[in-house]
Amino acid sequence: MPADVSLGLTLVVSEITVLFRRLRTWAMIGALALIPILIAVVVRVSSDGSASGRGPAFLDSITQNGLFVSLTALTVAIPLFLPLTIGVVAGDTIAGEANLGTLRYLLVAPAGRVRLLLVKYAGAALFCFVATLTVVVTGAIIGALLFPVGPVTLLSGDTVGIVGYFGRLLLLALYVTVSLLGLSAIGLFISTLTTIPVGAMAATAALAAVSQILGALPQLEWLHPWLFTNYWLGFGDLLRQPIVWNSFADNALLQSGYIAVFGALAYGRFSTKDILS
Amino acid sequence: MNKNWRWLPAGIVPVVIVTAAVSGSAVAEAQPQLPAKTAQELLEFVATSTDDAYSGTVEQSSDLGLPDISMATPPGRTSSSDPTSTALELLTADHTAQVYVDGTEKARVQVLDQLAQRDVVINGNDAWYYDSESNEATHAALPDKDAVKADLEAKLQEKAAEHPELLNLPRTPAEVAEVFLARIDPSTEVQVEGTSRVAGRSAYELVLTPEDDATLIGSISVSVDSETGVPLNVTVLAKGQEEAAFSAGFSAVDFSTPDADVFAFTPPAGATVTEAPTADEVKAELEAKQDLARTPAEAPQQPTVIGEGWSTIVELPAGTAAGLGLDAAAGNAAGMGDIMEIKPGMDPEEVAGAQALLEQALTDVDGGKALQTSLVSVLVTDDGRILAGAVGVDQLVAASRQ
Repeated sequence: MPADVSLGLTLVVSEITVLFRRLRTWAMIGALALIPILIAVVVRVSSDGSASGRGPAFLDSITQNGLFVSLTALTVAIPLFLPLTIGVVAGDTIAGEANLGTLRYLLVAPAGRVRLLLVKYAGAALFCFVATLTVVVTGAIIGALLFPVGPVTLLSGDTVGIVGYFGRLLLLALYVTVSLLGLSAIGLFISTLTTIPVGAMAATAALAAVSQILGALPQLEWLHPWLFTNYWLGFGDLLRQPIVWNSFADNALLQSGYIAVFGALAYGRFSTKDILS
Repeated sequence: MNKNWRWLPAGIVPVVIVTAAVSGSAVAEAQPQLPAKTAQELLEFVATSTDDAYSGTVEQSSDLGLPDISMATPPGRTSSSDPTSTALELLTADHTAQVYVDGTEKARVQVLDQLAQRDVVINGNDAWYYDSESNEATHAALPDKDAVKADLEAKLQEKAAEHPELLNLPRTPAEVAEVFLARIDPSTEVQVEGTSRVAGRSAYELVLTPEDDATLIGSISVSVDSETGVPLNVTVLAKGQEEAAFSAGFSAVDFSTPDADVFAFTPPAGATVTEAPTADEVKAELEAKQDLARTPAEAPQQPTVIGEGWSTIVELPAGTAAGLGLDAAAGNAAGMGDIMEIKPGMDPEEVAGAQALLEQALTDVDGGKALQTSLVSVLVTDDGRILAGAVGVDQLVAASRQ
């Protein structure tokens, strides 16, 4: 057993190394980092205050406190850019190997199919966290460089110090990462269906969009609690005093449901599939 | 080799999830066994519960048959500069609020919007209203502690004249219940109809049924916590409607004293702080407005009450509506611009949007324009009066002619 575990760890480490050695991965992380930089620079250059009350949440607060850049960037990144990059990484997991013709070598003993799925999923999950953290940390740095920094006003009107705020930012990154785990599981499943990685990537990213559109239709209200995008913008609950944990818990439960369903589907598909490439 | 069994988890997992979801709600609906109480005993039980300390999450939802305005404004974002659309949003949309109560002197209600929040904090002599979106705080100093409750109520009403959104904030289910329990009169049938579970606690179901043909209200059920007597849920059914027209209740509640820090509020740096005028100032201001709006010969009028019981109709004379953000200019036929107060600096698109919504909600009737919801009707007459009540529009029209 210990040999198995250490082999699994070795595989995870090697998967992560491969993932983060790719130019494509760094290009996506770079693009995500550009979001807060772009927001901060634009606000700095044109800070005449005429746009008050419009635009994404927290945009007005940036000129008073640079730390809000992280929050504005997250609000902008969550609906489109983050799911897009997650779609690329998760959609590539199995289909990418199949396309390169390396899948059958990976499946030569001792790496079993289940273990390969788990290792690939772990890599995608880590990317979710790195991607989110990139947006948050870049936002805080560029905000601190361009704007004054001070105690942060929460949604409830209470104020927290910088240390407390960074604690919350970390929680926030965790929340967003958890939010994206369901989408990663869906991407993993779609990736087992095809040998064309681009198809799996596009399908995963498109599903995120479809889910958000369904979530915006009030006529489908009964469906909303079951959509994996339902709690995506619920991270605001971590910016209240006292913190409202309901959405964190509900979100974690919902995402684990998606992981269970699509994990099982991916297992069913991948373990019964004839690997030809 | 048959490998199809490997698809088994993919079939079992969804079944397990659906079963868990269904059985979870079935457990929540099971009726607890409680010692029997008469309606009178239950009413007294509720009356003794006002000093309790508790906190919890309140869910409010309404189905008033109004057009849904949530599609017209970006999600989580309503124009806080326009009280009319704020009031409409609070009426038609669903809300979640965190409620903290410690006796009669400390309370905090946090309306949780997406990436925004509205807070009402009452702590001893201070009352605060804070809106995170506009970063505006309003402070009201409450007089003397002795008459705190009455004053507080009056103060909130006065502040409501300035900020109509305050009046519409979802409050604690206990306060909502109070409004209805105060209306119990001989024309109301009061019954205890079994028990229920609300927010994981056992509760008595108190049902008020108006025996009045004119009113739109079908019945009101109040779930009373079996241990403390605090109303946990209020549901209002309109006549001929199966879904609740309005409901406010705890989805989670905790009967321990909330942390004192919750009630301490200091406006954040950079917020716009306004001091709400005192009672006398508001009165003077309203009177001044009325004097401007009418000829000196006309004496200032008070709202008149027509009828009694559940079908009571309130008539506001022309002019007083201005203070409520409903600027029905005296003497002229009410166009949309008269009904909504348009302030300089407001986004013209927003104004147009809100006007379109009002157009959609209001229907032309004989002698004015009316808003008909499943519970309440409002009539703005052509001569600028406003009539409102829990009755049909035809009754309002009839009353306006008397």
